[in-house]
Amino acid sequence: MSTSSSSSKKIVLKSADNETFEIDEIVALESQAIKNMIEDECADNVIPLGNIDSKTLSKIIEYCKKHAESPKKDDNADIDEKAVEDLKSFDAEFAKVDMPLIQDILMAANFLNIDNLIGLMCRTIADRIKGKTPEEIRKILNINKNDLLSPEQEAKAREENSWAFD
Amino acid sequence: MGNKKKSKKAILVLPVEIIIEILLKLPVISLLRCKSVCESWYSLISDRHFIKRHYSLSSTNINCEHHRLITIPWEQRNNLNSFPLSDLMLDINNVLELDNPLQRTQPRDLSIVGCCNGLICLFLNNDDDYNLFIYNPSTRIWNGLPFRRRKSRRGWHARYSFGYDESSDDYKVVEMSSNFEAEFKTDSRVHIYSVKTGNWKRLGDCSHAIHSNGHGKFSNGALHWLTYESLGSSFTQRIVSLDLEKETYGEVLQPEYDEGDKTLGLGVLGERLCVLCNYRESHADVWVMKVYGVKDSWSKLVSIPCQTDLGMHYISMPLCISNDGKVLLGNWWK
Repeated sequence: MSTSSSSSKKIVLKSADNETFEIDEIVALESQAIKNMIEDECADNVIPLGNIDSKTLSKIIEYCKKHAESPKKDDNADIDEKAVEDLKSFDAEFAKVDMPLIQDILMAANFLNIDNLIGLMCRTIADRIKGKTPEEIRKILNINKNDLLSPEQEAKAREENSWAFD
Repeated sequence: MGNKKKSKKAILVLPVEIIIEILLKLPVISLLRCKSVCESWYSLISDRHFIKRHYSLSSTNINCEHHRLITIPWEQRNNLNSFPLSDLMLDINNVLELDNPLQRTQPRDLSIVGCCNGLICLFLNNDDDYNLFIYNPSTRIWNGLPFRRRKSRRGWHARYSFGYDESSDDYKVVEMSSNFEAEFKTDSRVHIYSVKTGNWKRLGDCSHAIHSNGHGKFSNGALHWLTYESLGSSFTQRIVSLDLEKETYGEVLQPEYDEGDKTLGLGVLGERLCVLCNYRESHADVWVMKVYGVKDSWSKLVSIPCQTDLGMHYISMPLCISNDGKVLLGNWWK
C-alpha cells in the first residue's frame, strides 16, 4: 500500500492547544471538510483546528488512519468479509471511552464532516441510553437542568406512555 | 429570558441534528421514556417528521428486526398478540400480549381490517353495532372512529379496508357494501372516512361485487379487491382498485396463470401487490407485481407444493418471504 511510503503527500493539522500532527493526505481525506479544503487548494501548509483539542484530535486521526487503510467495500469481494469484521472490532474498541470524550469526538467529527465516525458515536450514545430511565439518561448525558420538564409536564408524559415504564 | 434561550441546548452542546441522529437509533419503547428526559427531547420525539423518519428506518431494516406479526387468537377475540417476525422465521415463538382497551372487557369479536405504515385498523363486531379503531402497536395509542349509522338490509354485507393517501398525508378507511344474495350482479356501495377531516362521505358506486371475505389490500396509494363476475356457468375474477388520492376506480391487469382449476387470493408482500394462485391439492404460485400497474412486471416469486398427506389441500397467503427465500405461512385451519 502506498499510503505509508515517504513519497506520499503529507498534511499537517494543528490542534487548539497548538500541537501539530503530520498525517498522510489519504488519512486526511476521510474528512469531507479537509477534502474540500484540499480540492479548493486552501490547505497548503498547516490546517488550524481551533476548536479541537489534541486529545480529541489524536483519537480522530487514529480512527481516520484505520479507516483509510482498510480496503473499501467492493474493491475486492474476497477480502471484504474479513476486512469488514476487522473494522467492526476496531470501531467497538474505539468507542470504549467516557461520555465527555465521546461528545468531544462527536463535535469534532461533525465539524470535520466524517460521516462514519458521526454514525459510530451516535450509535454508541444510543446504546448507552437504551433501556435506561429518564433520571439515568439525564445523569449519563449531563442534561441541562434548565431544559427539564415541569413536574406536571413530566407526569403527563409518563402517564401517556405508562406501559413503557413497566 | 435571553439566559433561558441559551440553556435550551440539551446534552452539553451537541447540535440538534446530532441529537436527532442519536434518537433515531433508539427503539420506540426507549423513545417513549426519552420524552420525559427534557423539554427539547419531548418536542423532538413528538415531531411528525421525526416520527416518519424513525418509521422509515425501522420498516426498511434489512433484517426485519422491527417487524411484528400481529394476530387475534381464536380463543380470546379481544386480545392482540405480537410476534417478532425475525423470531418466527427462526421458528422461535416469542409472543407479547399488547395492551388494548378491550382486553379486560367482555369477550368480543375483534378483527384486523388492515395495516399501513405501522398502524393497524381494527373492526369490532357487536350484535347490531360495530366500531372501528386505529391502533399503533408501537406506542399502544388507540383511537376510535366515529360511528356511521348504516341501514341493515337483508343480504348486504359491508367490508372495510384501510390505507394511506400520501398527497394529503391522511389515513382513510373504506366501507364497501355488496348484496351477496344477488349472485354477484350488483354494484358495491362505497363510503370513505378521512382521519384528517374526521368525516365519512359517500363515493360513487363501484360497478363490481367484492369477494365476501376480502378486506381491500393497500399498495401504491390504492386499495385493491378481488371481484367475481358471472360468465354464464363460470366466474371470472378481476382486481379492482380505488386510488385514495383521486378517489377513482381502476383495474389492475393480472399475470398469465397456468391452465386448470384455480382459486385466487390477493395480498401484499413488502409493499407490493401479490396474487396467490391455488391449484387445489397440487400447488400454489405466488405472483408479485414488481412495478405497480405494469402487467409484464408480474413475476412468479415462489411455487409452494401442497402436502395433502398433512391435510393441506390449499396454501394460505404467505405472511412474509425472507431475502434467503424462506416463506412464512399461517395455518389458520388448524
